[in-house]
Amino acid sequence: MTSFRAFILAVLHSACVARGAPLLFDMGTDESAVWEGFTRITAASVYSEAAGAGWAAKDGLKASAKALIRDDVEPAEIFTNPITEDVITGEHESRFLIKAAPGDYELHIVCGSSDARREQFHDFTVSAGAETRRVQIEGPFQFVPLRLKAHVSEGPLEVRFTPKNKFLVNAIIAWRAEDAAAATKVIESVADWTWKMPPAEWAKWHEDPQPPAGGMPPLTSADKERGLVVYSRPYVECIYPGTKPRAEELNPELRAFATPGEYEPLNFAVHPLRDFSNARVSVSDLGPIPAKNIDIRHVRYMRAMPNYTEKYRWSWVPDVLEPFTALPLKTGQNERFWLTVHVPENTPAGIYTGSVTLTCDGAEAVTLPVKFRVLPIKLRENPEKIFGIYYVHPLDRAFQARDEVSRAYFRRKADLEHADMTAHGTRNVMLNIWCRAADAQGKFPINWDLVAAKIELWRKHAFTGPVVMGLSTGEIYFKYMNERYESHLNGVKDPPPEFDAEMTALVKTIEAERVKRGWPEFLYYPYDEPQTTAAAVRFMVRTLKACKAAGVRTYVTADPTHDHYDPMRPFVDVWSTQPFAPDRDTVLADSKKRGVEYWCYPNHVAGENNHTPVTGARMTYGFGFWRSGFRALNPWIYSYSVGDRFNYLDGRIMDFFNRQQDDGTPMPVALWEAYREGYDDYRYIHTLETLIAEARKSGKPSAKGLADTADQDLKSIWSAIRVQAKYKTDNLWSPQDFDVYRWLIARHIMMLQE
Amino acid sequence: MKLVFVSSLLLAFGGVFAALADELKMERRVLSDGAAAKAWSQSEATMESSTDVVKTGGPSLHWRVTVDHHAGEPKYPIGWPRVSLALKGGARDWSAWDYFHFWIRMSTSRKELPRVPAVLNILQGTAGKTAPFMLILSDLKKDRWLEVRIPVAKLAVAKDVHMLQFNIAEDQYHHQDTLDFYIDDFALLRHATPALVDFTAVNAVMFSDARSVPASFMLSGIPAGEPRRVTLELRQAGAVIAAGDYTTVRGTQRLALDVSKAALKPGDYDLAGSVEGGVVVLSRVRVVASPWQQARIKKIP
Repeated sequence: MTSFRAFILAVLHSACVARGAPLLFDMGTDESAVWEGFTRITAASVYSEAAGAGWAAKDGLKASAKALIRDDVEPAEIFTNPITEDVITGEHESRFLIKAAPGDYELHIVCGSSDARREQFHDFTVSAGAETRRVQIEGPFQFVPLRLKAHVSEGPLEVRFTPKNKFLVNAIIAWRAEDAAAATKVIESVADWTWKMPPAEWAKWHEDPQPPAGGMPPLTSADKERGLVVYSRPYVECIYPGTKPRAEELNPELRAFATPGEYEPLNFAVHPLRDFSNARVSVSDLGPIPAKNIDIRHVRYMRAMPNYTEKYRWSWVPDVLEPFTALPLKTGQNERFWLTVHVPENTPAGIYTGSVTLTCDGAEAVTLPVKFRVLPIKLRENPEKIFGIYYVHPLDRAFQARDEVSRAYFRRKADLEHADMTAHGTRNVMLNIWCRAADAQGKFPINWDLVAAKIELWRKHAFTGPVVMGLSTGEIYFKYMNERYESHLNGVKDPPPEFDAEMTALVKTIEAERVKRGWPEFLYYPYDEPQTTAAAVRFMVRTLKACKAAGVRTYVTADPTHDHYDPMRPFVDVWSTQPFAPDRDTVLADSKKRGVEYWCYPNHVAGENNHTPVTGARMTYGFGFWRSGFRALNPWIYSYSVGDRFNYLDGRIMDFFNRQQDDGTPMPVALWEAYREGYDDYRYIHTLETLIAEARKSGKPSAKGLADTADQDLKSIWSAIRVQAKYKTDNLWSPQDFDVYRWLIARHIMMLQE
Repeated sequence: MKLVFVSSLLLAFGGVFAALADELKMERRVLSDGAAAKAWSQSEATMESSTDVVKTGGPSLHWRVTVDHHAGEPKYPIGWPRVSLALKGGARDWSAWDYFHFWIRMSTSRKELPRVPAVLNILQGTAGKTAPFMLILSDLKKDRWLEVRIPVAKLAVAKDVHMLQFNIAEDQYHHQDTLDFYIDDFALLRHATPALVDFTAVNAVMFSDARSVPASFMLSGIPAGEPRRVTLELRQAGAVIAAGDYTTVRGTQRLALDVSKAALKPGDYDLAGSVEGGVVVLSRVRVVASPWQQARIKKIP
C-alpha cells in the first residue's frame, strides 16, 4: 500500500470513529472489490496509530480472491460479493487491531473462502476480549458469521485468530451500542447477499405458494391464553410453515412402539399465536430408556427449487433435522420438533410413560405425555437384501489433503458417516477406482492404499453385499479418441479395438488385487445412465463385454424395460433402475432363469427434485420394496451440495439429502429418517416371514395354526399395497396405516415367538 | 337413500371411472372434439379428425407421430413431438367443474408400448410461476381405450387453465415407429346432484383407542359457497357406533368423526358418509387392538 493511500484510509477511518459509525473492514487483495463503506485490509496492512486498523504482524498472512458470478453456460457454485470474493488466511496466530475509543464493542466477523481447495479443512478460533469462538469450515463456499463482545479500556480493540491449521477472515464489523442500528443494517445487507442471493438476482426469484394450509380448528381458551397451539401429526406427513393443525391433532399424547436396538421417531409441532423467544424442548426418561437416548431436533425449513435445475422459483420445504438449544417462535409459523428414541439393546419389554416439555420465554410450559412400548422382539436382517447408497467418499479428500488436521477431519467424517448409515440400515456404498489410462508399460496408476482404506472402513462398519465399483472408462476412451463424450454418452463414437482390450486389462488388474487382498466382490460399473441411442448402446455393449472378459459381474444404471437396451442384456448382471420396473413377476423370473439381479435407485424419494415425499420414501424402503421383488435399494446420494450446503438455490443444481454440522457430524433430513423406518418395516416383515416358515417346519399344530393366521394377515397387507413403479406422493397409504400394519406384523411375531 | 359402496382404488386419481359415475347424473362441457382438430397446434406430429376409431359416437381426435431420431428441432433431434390446444375465454376457468375427462387409445407399429408412452401436460396460472400438471399415461395398452379422469382439485390454478398438451419422448421409441393416438370425449364433468365423491376413510386400518376416524371426500353437485350438512357414521354389522353432523361446502374436504367415547373393539367397520339430497357412501375400516392397551404400564420412578 502506498503511504498516501494509507494516509487517506487513516483519515477516512478516523472520520468514521469520530462520527461514531460502525467500524467496517473488508479483507482481501490490493485489487479485489471492497464492500461500499468498508475499509480495505490486505495481508500487508500492518497496524499503526495512523492507519487506525491492521495486523499486528503481517508474517505468514496471505490474501487471495476469486470472484464468482452467475453464468448460465457454466454457472458458478455461489454468488460472491465484495466481502466473500476475497479472504486473508494464515497458518499462525495473528492479531487484528482496531483503533477504538474506550468502551464496550460488539463484533460481527465473516469467515470463509470462495477459492479454498475442497480437501482443505479450516479449524481455528477467533477471540476478542474474554470471548472465543471455534470455527470449522470444510473447503470453499461456506461462510460462517461470528458474534463476539469485547471491552476496550486502553489501546486498540484486538481480534485474535488462532489456527489449529489455517484460519480465514473476510470481514470484521465492530460497533458500540449507540451504533447498533447502523451496524445491523450493514450486516443484514451482507447476510442477504452472502447466505441468500445478490439483490438483483433475488429479484428474479419468486416464492411458490405452500400447499393448502387448512382451516384453524376451534381453540380452547387455555390455548389462546397460552399463545401457542401444540399438535402432532405422523412424521411422514409434512408440516409447512403455514400449515394449520387439525382439531383431532391438538394437545396430543405422543406414542410409539419399538424393539430393543431400534430407533423410532416421535414428533410434535407448535403453532404460535404470537412471537416467543428461547423455545426449548426437554424430555424425561421413558422408564428404562434414558433421556440421553432421545435425540431432540427441530425441522428446519429450507428454500428449495421445484426440481434440481429449475431456477427462479422456490418454496419453503421442511427438510433438515437440525440440533438446537433454543429457538425463536414466530407468529403463525409452525415449528416442528423431531425426537428420535434409540431403545437400548437390553431394554425389557413393557409400556413406559414419560413426558416432553416445551418452554419458552413468556409462556407457561407445555408438557406432553409420552407412552412408549418396547416389544420383546429381535428383528432379523434378510441377508439376501442390500440397502446401499451412492456416496462421495471423504477418504478421497483425506488422501488429497495437505495437512494432518484436514486429513484427520476427513477420516473422522467418513467414519461418522459410515456409522450414521449403519444406524439407518444402510450398509453398502458405491465406490470407484479412478485412474488414468495405462502407461506405456500397460500399468494403471491406481492408488491401492485409498481403495484399501475404503474397504477397511466398509468392514469396520460391517457393510454387506458386493461393492459397486465405478471405473474411469472415460480416461481410456480419451486415450484412444483424444476427445471426451458428454454426459449420458452423448456424442460417443466407436473407439478402436484397443479400447476394449485396455478395459479388460483394467478390470483384470483390479480383480487380481481384490482377490489378493480378500476384498468383497466388486460389481464393475463402467458408465452411469447411458442414453438409448444406438451409438451409446453399441458402446455399452463393447464396454460391458470387455469387463466380463475379465470374469467378473457387471452393473448398469439403465431402465431395463427399454427395448433399446436389448443388445446389452447378455452382458448385464445387475440392472439398477430408478423405478421398481419391470414388475415383480418379471424380476423374479429373470433372476431365477439367468441369475440377473434388479436393484433400484429411487431418486424420486432422495430429494433430488422434491425434498418432501417422506411417505413415499417409507413406502419405497419397506412395504414397496418387499412387494417389488428387487434385491437392493441404492439411491443417489447420501449428501449432495453445490456451493453453500445450506443454500439450496445458489448453485447450478439444487442441494439435497443429508447435511452436516461444521465439524463433519452428519445432520439428517426427514427423508433419511423415513428410509430407516421403511427399512425397519422391512425387518418386521422379514422377521415374521421367517417365523412363519419356522413354525410350519416345527410340526407343532398350534404353531402351524398361528403361522396360518399370521400368513393370512400378511397376505392382507400385501394385497393392500397399491403397487407402483415409483412410490412418491399419490395413491399411498395414509401415514397412520404404516404403523398399524407394522403393529399387526409385530403382534404376530410375538405370538409366534411364544 | 341409495347406498353405494365406494372403492377407493377404483376411484383413485387417474384411474378407471367407477360405476358410481354412471349412477350419478353428470353435467359436461366439451373442450374439443374431432370436428375441432384444426384448433390444435402441432409440432413433429399431426392432429386430424377421425371417424374410423371413435369411442362415443362423434369423430375423435387423431394424433399421429412418426418417430424420427434425426429430424425435428436441430438441438434435439431425439425430441418431444407434441400437440397443444390453447383454451380461450370461459373454457379456461375449470374451478366450477369436478373432473377433466377423456378417452384415449393408441395403435402403433410396435409390439409393446414403452413404460412412458405419452404425457399430458395441463398448463395453468402464470407461466414460470405455476408448474404444469403432468400425467404420465402409463396405463395405456395397445389398441385399447383408456378412460382418464383427473379431479380438477388436483390443479393448482383451476381458474386459469390455458393449455392442454400431449407429448411423447422420442427416446422412449425406435426411429420410424408409428404412433396413432385417438382421443375422444374431451370434456369437463361435474355432478348435477349433491354427492360425496371419492369418499374414503383416510386410514384403512386404525388402533382401537384412536380418538377420531377421519374421512376425505369431495363435496360436489352443489353451488360454490353454499353450505350443506354432511353426516358421518361409524357402523358395525348395521349398528351405528358413532355419528356426527357437520356443515361444509363444495370442494375437497376432510372431516374427523369423534370416536373417543366409542370404546371400539377390534374388527371391521364401515364409515358411512352422506350429504343432504345425496346417496350414502361407505368405506371400510379395520380396527386393531391398540399396542398401548395390552401390557402392564410401568410408571417411571
